[in-house]
Amino acid sequence: MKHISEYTFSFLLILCTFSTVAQEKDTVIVPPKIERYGIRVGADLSKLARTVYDSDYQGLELVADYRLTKKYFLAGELGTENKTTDDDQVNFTTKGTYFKVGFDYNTHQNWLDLENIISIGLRYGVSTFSQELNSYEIYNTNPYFGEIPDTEEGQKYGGLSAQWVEVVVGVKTRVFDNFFVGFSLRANKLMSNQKPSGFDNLYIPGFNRTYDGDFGVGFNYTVSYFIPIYKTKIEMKEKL
Amino acid sequence: MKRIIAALLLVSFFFAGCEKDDICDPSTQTTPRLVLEFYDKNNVSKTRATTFLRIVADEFDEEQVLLNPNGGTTWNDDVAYLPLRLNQDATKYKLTLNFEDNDENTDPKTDILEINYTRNNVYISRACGFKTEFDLFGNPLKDPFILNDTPDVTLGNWIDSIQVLQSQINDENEAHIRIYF
Repeated sequence: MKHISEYTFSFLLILCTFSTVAQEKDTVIVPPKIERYGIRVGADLSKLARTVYDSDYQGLELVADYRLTKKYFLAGELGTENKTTDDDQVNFTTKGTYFKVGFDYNTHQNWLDLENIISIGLRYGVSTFSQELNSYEIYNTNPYFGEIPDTEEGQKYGGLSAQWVEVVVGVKTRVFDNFFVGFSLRANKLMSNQKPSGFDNLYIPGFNRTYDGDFGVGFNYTVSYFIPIYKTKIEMKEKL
Repeated sequence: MKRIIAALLLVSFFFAGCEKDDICDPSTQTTPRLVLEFYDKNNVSKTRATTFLRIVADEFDEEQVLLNPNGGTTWNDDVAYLPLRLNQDATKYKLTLNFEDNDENTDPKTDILEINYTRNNVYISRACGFKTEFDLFGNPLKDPFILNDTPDVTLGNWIDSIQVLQSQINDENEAHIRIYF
């Protein structure tokens, strides 16, 4: 019994010395954290997919961001849309291009060399577009003479424009190599809206459907490629 | 993470003020009807309620009467609202006074009123679409109203005279035509 306890004690002692050695080694070999800076370019997959399955929609959105500082990214979107909206009372086609520019702020603290982003950001959006009123229904609450068929129109309203501000909440994660996938939700508020006389901007490229007020919503699902330009090393402070 | 929750909350407040806009509000002024106002021919400053006035479109069967706001088949008020045709620039109504009266002394009397106008379709909103507005003087070659198919005559079987008050029919707030009888 005495022998066994002696052995155990000496074994534990040896174990302890090993473990302290190992700990000392760990603190010495902390790899420096590498932060990569560069441009990320990509496209919105949701608009591409919708172009395929929705015959009334054609759209393309290119996205890009440039890492300015550790947390801030200069970000923008450039897109084009051609959408026919068939509402109960009106049917119209909106065509136009848009450009959004602003920044994203990464609120996520990454482990080691992970480059995930959970961001909030702002954009300023500008769109130039045209509306074509294809047909409409006359709202009549007294159909004594019966309902009349939709009125075919074909009136085109060109040279329209709108400007708005977007609040963006987004996530991006690196899937492999320099490829990222991202998703963002956007809340939009119109700043200026040049409406056609005799009709309205019920859809604005980039802004999406307009509501009675100035508000709108949007989202995108992006795949992008990161082009590294330079790196910074952040030396980790030694602990213990 | 807290920041993101805060941002999402902010976004949801952003939308709290939004209203549903795909149902046409019944209080919206959509396509207006022609508002007729009836006045006493013996005292031109006083309104006069019609007695058992039956209104039917001239081309329609006798049974297809224009119902009054309460769903009755005759109008007993000093105003009447006539829908106008939205696919033609003229609408003809047969106006029969004392239609249901059993009194022997008051026989039903009928006048045919033709209303001529031009139409203009005006955008309202996404939910309501468009409305039609009418202009009684829109066509300079046509009188705004013709009584019993004889132009330039305003004396009918019961109608004494007709006056256009408001040629632009954009709403139903005020009378457009005044009829003395």
